[in-house]
Amino acid sequence: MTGRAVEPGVAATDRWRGIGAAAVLAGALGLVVRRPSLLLVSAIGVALLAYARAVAPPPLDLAVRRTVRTRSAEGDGSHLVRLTVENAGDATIPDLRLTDGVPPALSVVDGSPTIGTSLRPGTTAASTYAVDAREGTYEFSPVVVRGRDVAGVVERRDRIEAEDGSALESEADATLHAAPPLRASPVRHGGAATADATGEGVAFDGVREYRHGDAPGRIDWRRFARTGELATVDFREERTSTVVVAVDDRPSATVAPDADAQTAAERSLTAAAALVEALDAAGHRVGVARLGAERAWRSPGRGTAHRRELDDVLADRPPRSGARPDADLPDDAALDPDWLARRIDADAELLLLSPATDDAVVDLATRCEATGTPVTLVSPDPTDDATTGRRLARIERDRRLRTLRRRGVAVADWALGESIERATRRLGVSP
Amino acid sequence: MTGRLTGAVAIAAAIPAVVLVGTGPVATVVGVAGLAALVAGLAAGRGAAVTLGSAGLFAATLAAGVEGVGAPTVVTASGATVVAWTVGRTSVDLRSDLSGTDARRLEATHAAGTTAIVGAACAIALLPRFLSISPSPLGLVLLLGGAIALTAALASS
Repeated sequence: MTGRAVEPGVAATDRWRGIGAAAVLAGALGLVVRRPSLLLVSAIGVALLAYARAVAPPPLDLAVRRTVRTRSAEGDGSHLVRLTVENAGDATIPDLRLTDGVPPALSVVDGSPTIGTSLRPGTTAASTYAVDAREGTYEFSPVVVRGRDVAGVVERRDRIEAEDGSALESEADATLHAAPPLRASPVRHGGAATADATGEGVAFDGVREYRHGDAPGRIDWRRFARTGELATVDFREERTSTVVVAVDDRPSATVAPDADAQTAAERSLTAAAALVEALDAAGHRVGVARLGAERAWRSPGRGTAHRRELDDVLADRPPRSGARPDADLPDDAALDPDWLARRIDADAELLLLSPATDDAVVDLATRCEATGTPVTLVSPDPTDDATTGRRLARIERDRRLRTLRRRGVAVADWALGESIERATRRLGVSP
Repeated sequence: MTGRLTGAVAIAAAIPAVVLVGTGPVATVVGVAGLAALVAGLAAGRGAAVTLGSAGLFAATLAAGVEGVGAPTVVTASGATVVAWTVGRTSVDLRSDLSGTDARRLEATHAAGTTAIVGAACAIALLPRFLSISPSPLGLVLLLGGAIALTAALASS
């Protein structure tokens, strides 16, 4: 159905093509063998043809509406479209078929963008279908409408614009509903804690059977005194941590596949703001660093005033340079690992946002991992395979990410148009 | 599933047609073959097979008429064949055009309306018999000539 050019207008369908020939055949045969019954069969054909000539297709006096809404709260580009048609005329349309003008770039994943019904005056019919849309704005085409008489022998076609909802805007949602999984192992921390460590961030989670090697500080001595059994207290996994969210917004990171898309630096800053909010909400101590031409640093902390400071640091956006990943990149200052290492505490972990378009990121992350700072990299992907040069850039970036994973860095490859939620969800799953 | 209702109606109309004309050997064989092609066409969604099957049913009707089966039977069987063909073609069209849509309202209206129209055409054709008109041979030939000319005019325009 899609792709067939529809000309508005009235036309006979080919539903009864051949009836005339059949009628003539029956009549001729009846004459030859002298059977009046066959003449009557021929008369049926004549009557039907007379109907086909006389009947008019129904008028298409319709009101068509379209509503678009986001399907899930996770911003993964899934949208629900509802197409509604009302018979605004005063004649019944016995055979009404509509096909929505779905933008070619969108794919229908559930339901069907069509309506097929028989519509009395004043009644409505509707259809709901789901589409997947990456980031962007999409225009709907007019709805193709076909109305036929009850036998389906004549058809009136038309294209009708929906009264509202002619565009779909899809935004990769930039909110996180939960803090991403962090590297710091709570068991490791729990083991170092003393027996009476019931301070903030350590939550009792039950008692389990003692395993050889458990720290004596975590044995439930009261139970032992009472029953003679050795049992270890388990603390809840969600131990709060200290996290530094660092954004690579050097000029080499202000790249994007085309002039209209967000640059990697912009995506990193948007994601950083979402991550800071989610981590802070989970009770972690959060700090922020910007590693670009204008360096910035805020030590990890908590509190509303601290949050505002962090938001201010991240809100300062870099100018767009629109550079492509394979263009000659400006010779900017390398990511100075010392600058960052001097500031990060021993017990903090690093959440780095960088497109990984050069090896400086690999060096920085490797150095931090080696000196005991767990590193998680969320990497917005600015590459595509439009040209050979860009394909090369993509291959090299993939290689860097693989290298980092081998060295123990947790890496989330964040595709263009994907929501940050979906990208960080992959962090909890081993590659 | 789209097209199911019309498909069922088409088969329901084709079966009496086969039964009615299944008097002689030729008519029976051709009629059953036509029915099989119709059912296969509906199952696979192929309009050509539906048309072919309906043509087979029609040929069986003609064969029965040649063998002398009564006019009401032949006319009714022809009408049922037309209904089966029309509704069957609609079933196939809906499957390809509007797959995934619930169009049962459309299908029911179409099946009922088509049956009514074809039924009316059959009634008109049988009118002379009910009115007990026995035309003279000349009158018959003139009537037939006029009918053929009219048919040709309607069909070609």
